[in-house]
Amino acid sequence: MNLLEVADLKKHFPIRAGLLRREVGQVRAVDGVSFHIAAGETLALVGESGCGKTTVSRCILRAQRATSGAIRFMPEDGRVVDLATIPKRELRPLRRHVQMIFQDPYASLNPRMMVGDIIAEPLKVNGVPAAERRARVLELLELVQLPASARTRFPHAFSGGQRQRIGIARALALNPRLVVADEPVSALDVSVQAQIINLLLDLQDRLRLSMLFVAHDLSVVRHVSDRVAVMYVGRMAEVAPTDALYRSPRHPYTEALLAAVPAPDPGRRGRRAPVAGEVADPARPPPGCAFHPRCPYAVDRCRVERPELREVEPGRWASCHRAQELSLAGVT
Amino acid sequence: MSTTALEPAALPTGDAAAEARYAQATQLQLTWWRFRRHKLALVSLVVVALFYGVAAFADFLAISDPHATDARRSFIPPQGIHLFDEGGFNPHVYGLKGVRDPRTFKLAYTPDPARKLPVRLFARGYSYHLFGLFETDIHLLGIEGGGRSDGIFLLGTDQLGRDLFSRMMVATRISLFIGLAGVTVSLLLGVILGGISGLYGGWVDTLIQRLIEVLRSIPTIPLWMGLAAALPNTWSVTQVYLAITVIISLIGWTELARVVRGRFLALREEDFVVAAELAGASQMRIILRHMLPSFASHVIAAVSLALPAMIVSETSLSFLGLGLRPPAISWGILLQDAQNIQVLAGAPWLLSAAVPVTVVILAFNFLGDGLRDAADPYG
Repeated sequence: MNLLEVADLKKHFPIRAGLLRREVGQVRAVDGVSFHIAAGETLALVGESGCGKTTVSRCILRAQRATSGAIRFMPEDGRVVDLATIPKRELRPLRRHVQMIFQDPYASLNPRMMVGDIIAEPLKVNGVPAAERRARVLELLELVQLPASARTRFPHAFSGGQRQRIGIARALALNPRLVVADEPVSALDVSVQAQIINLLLDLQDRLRLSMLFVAHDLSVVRHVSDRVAVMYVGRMAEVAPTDALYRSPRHPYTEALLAAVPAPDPGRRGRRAPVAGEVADPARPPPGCAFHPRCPYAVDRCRVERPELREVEPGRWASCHRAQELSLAGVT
Repeated sequence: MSTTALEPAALPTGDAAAEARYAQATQLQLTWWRFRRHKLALVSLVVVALFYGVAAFADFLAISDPHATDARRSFIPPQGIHLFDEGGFNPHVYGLKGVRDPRTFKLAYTPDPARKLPVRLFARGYSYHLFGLFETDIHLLGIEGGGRSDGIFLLGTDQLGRDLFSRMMVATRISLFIGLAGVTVSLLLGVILGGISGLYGGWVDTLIQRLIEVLRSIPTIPLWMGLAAALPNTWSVTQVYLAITVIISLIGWTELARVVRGRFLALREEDFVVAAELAGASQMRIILRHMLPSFASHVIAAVSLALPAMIVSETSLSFLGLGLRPPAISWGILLQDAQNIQVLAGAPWLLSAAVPVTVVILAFNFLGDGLRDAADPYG
């Protein structure tokens, strides 16, 4: 089986109002999402803000508890646990297998701890002896290309990119099976983004890292991901191998996201304007396909019937009634 | 922080030693560096330290027994120490001389320039226990020779002939320590209840927050009056002292609880706390190792702002006759003597007890402001 299999994951947040905090509605942040990550594979989870991609990653990390669905994870060969339902007591020893790289490198490092202690903290919590910890910290610093002298410094002495390297070192400290990277470069300067992406590529090669890479646009994920999953208002719009998705998207939303990717030479081809309008409110999603109010190809069927995620060709999944008939523009 | 193009090979250049010092600075150092820039707070820190120095060495600094009454030296105006005598350095004070008022036939004691009493450092006086441990009778200042009623009256005396300066020294000790004790009790209540409130949330949080709102909406003076009136008359000075501390901190904890709760709520969502949780750290370790150091400085700042409120509370309670009672000596009790306009007209120096109250409260407020600004050196 795959390293991670998410099946029909749902996370609904209650909306409460009034003095008695009665439940008056639900925000369906994640509403039936399924995907898998094979060992050594990187899956990019892409969508605009509010589409539920962060909630999905938080559910996998069990920072939030899923409303329903299964998150089957293989911590070691031959053993499968469901991260959605496992009791807290049994979860703690499993934490070490799923680690996270945070979006904001300024908030994710404890300013009161030295860098060496920050990286060693997961080791310490998991009972690694002091001498081994020291050696491992030096090894990790080298892995993320920071000088060994960083060990005795505090985070405030480092730039955003350097801090993100520290965050990556911490995430890798326990040799996790799966790394969840929550928009790891979106808070960084463009020049630094490339460096961090290169570092992640390098780590993928060297450590055969499995990664869930969460991003809000398609511009950065092309280089790091093997496959891309596009989310829209709590559901999957399209799942496909990276190259195929960029070349010929099968969902109008993917096409819109691709149109928003900055082109190296904007004058070279006729560019369609990025999609208009706002993301639908997950508390009151439109009937039918959630994307239809913004979709230039919407037909009557889209307004009433909700499309399910279907395999449109081997390895490619899309949830669009017109996936077969439309020919959508990709990028080269 | 924008040396992004150079990283990671080149750490910021410049003065290497200063860079290294900054890079390896702990939170305490950073806080201190930032605090140091707040000059008023720095001065206030010195003032507060001096006050607590006085409190620690109150009996040593006192000149005559603050409890000893002497009818012959009632209402003596403040006397300076004369430093020079006949061209040489010879600090001295004048002895007292009884003069009968020709109209009222009342005997009044006034300083007599003819009788000079030399002032000595580390002189022997009444005996006391230093820090409550070592019995000694050494005082900073004292006079040589002279009769029973002679003495140094830097701030004059009250109706019963007690030296106001000596009483002020001892009052400083009680007033400042009642503040500390009150804050300690408030801090315990505040951290525990605020921590529970912030950590567990839900109905416990709602309950504690509503309780705080109720407590804060009660007018303080009537509440204190009621509680103080409930203290039995038969209680000793120490018992009353403790009870007053508890009464004062009953209100004081609410503010601290809110600070602690607020920090807990803010920190619970911080990425670095989530990271610790993901590493598999226990709840206890997350609180002690990751959260506590982050809000300790905020709590210290809140405490230094709560202290003056405690001191004012004690002073006002005692001034109104609801707090400590004589023979205990506190600033409020000293000011009680200044309630009577007739006494005040004849002996305005009795009001001088208001000066340390004002000074220490201003100092604490400035200090608290400075600490609050410096508390989060990363912000």
